[in-house]
Amino acid sequence: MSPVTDNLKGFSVTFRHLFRKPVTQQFPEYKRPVYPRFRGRHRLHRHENGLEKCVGCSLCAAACPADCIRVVAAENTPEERYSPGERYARIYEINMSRCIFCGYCELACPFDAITLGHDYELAEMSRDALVYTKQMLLEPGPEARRTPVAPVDPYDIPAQEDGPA
Amino acid sequence: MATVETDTVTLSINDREVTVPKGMSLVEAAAEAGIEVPVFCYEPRLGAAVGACRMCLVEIEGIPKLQTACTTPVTDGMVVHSHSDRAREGQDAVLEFLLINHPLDCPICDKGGECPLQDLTFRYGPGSTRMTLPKRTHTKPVPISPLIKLDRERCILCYRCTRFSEDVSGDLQLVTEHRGANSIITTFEGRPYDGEFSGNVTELCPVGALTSISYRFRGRPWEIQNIPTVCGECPIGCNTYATIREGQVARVLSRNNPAVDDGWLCDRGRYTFPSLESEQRITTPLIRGGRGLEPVDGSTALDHIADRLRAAVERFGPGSVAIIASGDQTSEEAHLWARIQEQALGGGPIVCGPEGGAGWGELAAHSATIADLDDADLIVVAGATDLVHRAPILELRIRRAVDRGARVVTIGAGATRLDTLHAAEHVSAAPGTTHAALLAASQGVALKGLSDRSVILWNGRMSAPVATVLAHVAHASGCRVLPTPLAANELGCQAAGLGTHTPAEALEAVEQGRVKAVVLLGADPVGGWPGGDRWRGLMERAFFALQVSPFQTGSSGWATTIVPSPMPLEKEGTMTNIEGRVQRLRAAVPPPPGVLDGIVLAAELGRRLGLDMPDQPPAVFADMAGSRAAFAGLTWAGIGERGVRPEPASGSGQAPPAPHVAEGEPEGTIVVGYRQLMSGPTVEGAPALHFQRRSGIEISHDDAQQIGVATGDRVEVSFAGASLTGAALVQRRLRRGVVRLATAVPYVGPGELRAAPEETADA
Amino acid sequence: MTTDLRILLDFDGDRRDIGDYERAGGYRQLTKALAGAPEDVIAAVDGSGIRGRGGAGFPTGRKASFLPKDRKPAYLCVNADESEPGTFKDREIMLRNPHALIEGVITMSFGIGATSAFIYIRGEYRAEFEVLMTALQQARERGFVGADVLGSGYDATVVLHRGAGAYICGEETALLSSLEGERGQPRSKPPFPAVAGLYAAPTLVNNVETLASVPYILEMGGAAYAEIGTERSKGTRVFSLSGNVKRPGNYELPLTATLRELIEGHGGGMPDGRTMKAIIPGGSSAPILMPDQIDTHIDFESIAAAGSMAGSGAIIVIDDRTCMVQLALRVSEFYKHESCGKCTPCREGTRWGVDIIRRIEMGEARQGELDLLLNVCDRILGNCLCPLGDAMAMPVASYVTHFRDEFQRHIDEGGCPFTEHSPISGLYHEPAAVS
Repeated sequence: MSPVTDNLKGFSVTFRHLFRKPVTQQFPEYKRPVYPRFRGRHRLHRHENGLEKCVGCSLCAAACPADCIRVVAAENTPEERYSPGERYARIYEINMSRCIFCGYCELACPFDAITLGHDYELAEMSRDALVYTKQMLLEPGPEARRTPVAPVDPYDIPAQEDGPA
Repeated sequence: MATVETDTVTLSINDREVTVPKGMSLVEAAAEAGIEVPVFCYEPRLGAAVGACRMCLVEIEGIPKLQTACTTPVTDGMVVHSHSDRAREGQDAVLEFLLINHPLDCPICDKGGECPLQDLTFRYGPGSTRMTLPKRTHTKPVPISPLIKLDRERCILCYRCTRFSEDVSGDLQLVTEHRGANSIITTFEGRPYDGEFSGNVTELCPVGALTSISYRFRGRPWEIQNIPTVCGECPIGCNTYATIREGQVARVLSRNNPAVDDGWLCDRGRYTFPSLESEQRITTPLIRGGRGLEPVDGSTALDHIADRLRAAVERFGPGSVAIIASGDQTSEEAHLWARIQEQALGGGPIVCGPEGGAGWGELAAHSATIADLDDADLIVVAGATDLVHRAPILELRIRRAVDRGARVVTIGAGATRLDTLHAAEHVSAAPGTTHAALLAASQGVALKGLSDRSVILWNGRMSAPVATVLAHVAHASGCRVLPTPLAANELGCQAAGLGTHTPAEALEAVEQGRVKAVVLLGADPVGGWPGGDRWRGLMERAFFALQVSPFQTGSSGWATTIVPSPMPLEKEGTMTNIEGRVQRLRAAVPPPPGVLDGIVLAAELGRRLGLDMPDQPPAVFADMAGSRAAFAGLTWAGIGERGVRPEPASGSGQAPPAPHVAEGEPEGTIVVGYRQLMSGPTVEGAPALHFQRRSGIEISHDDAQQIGVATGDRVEVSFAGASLTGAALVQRRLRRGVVRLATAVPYVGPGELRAAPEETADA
Repeated sequence: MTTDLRILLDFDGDRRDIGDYERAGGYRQLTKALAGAPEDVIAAVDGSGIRGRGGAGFPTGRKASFLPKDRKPAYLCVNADESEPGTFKDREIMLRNPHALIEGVITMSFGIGATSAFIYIRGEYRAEFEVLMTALQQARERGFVGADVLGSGYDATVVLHRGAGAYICGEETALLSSLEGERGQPRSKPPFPAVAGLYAAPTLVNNVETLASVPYILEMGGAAYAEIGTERSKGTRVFSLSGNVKRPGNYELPLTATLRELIEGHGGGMPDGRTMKAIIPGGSSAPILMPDQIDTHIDFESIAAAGSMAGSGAIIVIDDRTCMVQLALRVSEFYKHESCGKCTPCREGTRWGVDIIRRIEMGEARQGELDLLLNVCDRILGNCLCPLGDAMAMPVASYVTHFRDEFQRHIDEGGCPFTEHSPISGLYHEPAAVS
């Protein structure tokens, strides 16, 4: 093969494509569907009764290889109950600028409280805005704060009352 | 240990030969061989092993059944398998049984991640459950005190906590109720658990059943750092870990140093860390101006202080500045302040603590170590109050020594907790004459057997006459002496030169008009020292009164300049504990913004006064080691995790002068006002601890009958020009004529007791 | 070979009154023993070969010889906390022959040099307690108990202590804990009570029947006593016969007899029209024997060879009406209720075992749970601090092994084929309603 024929062969491919329709998809007008198991922006879920599934156990933070999750837990009170049980996440933050979307947090979660969704449009104008708070991550609930589920309040009973039955 | 290990046995564990002393348990022998035998209930610090949890089952050749390694002593030629199929089956069985009732709430549980049950289940337990029956349920969590919550569902009934309460602290407050699978841990009659050592059960618990309320949901093991440091609340200097999360102290744990604390920690040391964020803290320097105390920045404050101190020396001559220290400073801070006083201010008086330690030097040659208590055959505790208020953790040592056969003699007013020990004998002494009673007892039958294996614990104020008596008794009998300082680093401060005068000498100098300016280092002489009025007079008249303190105190109102200082958990440095051990303090958290480090403050001030002083802790320590005899030869790096105890200066060997003790007993009522363990600004800053305060006015049975009151009735005590009303607490074992109560200002002296009229209405 | 030799209860009526007892030759052995050396008492007991009648069958003389001679104080504890289901021999001895016990106690105390003796009597034995109190008072008045017994210079203090209704306090170390005022929970051995028992002093713990036999052993002489019984099981023993027999009761027999002699001879055999299904030979904690083993001798070795244990001497006969699952449930519930809660396998294992058996009885169990039950029993067995866990695991495992078909039927048919026709139906606790 001579250099001339090589070049001609190459140009012919280019020439042929000049008359084809472009394949470019016009984002954001057109959004390409993702695969079902695509890992995008995280979501925190709720139980059917509106309570948060997350109990603030920090296992996701332990599993996170990018160290981008911060959890600060606190105790539910009868007046302010966020999750079943004693513990809830008072602060839940994911630093999206660090997250590598590996999904380990989802695997680590013992309550299926966090999943990675299909949203991928996460660009922001500032880095601070990429720290997602619990309010941003939590799926909207029927009511943010629920009244206690238990009929009796099992918490903060004075020690004196816990004598033998 | 005095015992010589003449007998050893050789055995084989998992095909490894190991030679250990006779009488050792298999668990310890396996540890010697580097083999882990899983345990839950086994804890040597709680006394003899009980074999309750059955986790440590091992196979011993020749014995048909599996045996618990914790209760089986080693014998020669024993062949043990801890990882054989049968042993693994037994360990797996025990874990499966334990998990029958254990809830799977590890994500919620605070122990998660640092839980022996989790770890051992992972390594030795079943991978899945075969269980179909419903788990036992209880109300959860139940607070057993304002400090501790109990989750009975998580409890695996290892009985560590009840054994601690029964055998170690002796408070007998944690008990088991019901039996079999219905057994529960509870407090006696459901009362709050209010022992001074209650927090230790949260560390003993191998599951998340007993947890500290202050650490509830604060952090996970992978989110925290444990900073090894030393407790700065009392002169024992228990070794601790400060757990840090996100720049805050989340909890304080014990760090086992067998020579000091044996892994125990009192509740004051464990639960006063919230005072770091107390609202009472001063966070900015303040200078008194036309409109009262006005905040200024650090360098302005330093310039002002340097200027005023220089002015005082120029105007009134060298020695016109007095330094009044609390004795809670690190030795490095003390050294720098002592240098300022010596080299820049002309050497005025320096007082260290309200008791101002005279006579410590005399006792150096006889000083005992804390560990001496373990081997002692006779322990003498001399003092008018409970030992727990001055040296809390030592009580646990003494209890253990008694269990091992030591005799205890208490000399004092009686009705202390140590008097109730089964081996305790009591010599009654009027408060103020305890040293005379000690001298008499040492010459009589009561302290017969005082030998070089005996320890005298002086649980009270140190003074020259007391030191003379102690030195005399120690020299005559060969016994060792362990006096209790009041402040955490009183010995270190004095060794670093901060402490040249007793409070009385200083007051005298003040009243003779020689002192014109005063520097309060952490001390609150107006609000918390004997002779508060006289101290106030000094501060009122002072040309310049500087207060360096983490908290606003009773003296703050008379200070012209106030500079905040960090608290022990925020400091780098060293402290010297009761037995002279120099231990490292590490800054777990930085001080709040606006608070200068103690060393930097002193160094900067020194520079402004023309001194060349280092401002880094290791450099200050080196400077101190070079100039102070007590620290000679020590290096910063040589202190290590466990501290070092320099060999105390040996005495001349000559008999100390015979003590002259005033004869005769004081007449009338004697009031003993003592500073209780749960008092002081750090306890103020930790409200959860307040329920542990002792209240009530202790009076003797005879006195109660004489004035016709019973426990709970109101009585009035007047002493030192003031009077106090409170509920009477009649103590059968208290000496007649003694009235004892917790006060802010320590006091021992005459007073009056009378029944108070009934209150008409609750205030 | 005689089968009606009686020693302890060789009389009709009772000898509660000290006069009756003395007329029958009582307290003479004590007088004789006090005149001699303490070692003679132990030598005679050792020579008789008598083995502990409480359950473990340890030779009494050997046990007494384990006590260090030079350590004071030392104590003698009498285990009168007879709680093993089916056992009622000690109460009969205490009711009918209390002075034999007291004489035995004082003699044995003298033998081991004990400073005090404690009789730990079961709390429910109110009548027996009162009889013993009266007998002790009488003995005190006659100078057999108290300071300077019969002028010998030996001081005998006897304390009668009532238990508070816990089966576990019949275990010797739990008994000692209970006596000390602590929770009635067993302690880990070693140290054995002989070295560190009551208040950490050397202590000998013996059963009522053992000690009550001591005067008779001294009377006959150790060697003569040793001629009764088999080579390794000496003397006579009081057997408590109960269950489905015509004449239940206490029968004293030499240890050469067979189960058949006891059940068919003395007990009158099965109720009319019934056939034997099984025999529990040594209290409810013993594994069962099958009807074809009825010719087993009743000494310790023969019963052990047959696959069970002589235990406390309580023989319970079971006829064909009885549902073995109900029996297992009843027995395991007892042990679950009495578990002290100290060690894990017993505390949790008995609860689990009861749950499985209950579900089998109720027909709620799934296939395979029978093996699970056997495995749970296996995991309890030998892993506990004291024998209580074994006492539940052993019999239950033996019921399943011998009557596996019957257990399997419960699972297959989804319920109990016996229902209320079984004589122990309903004796177990009905499951609590699940809310």
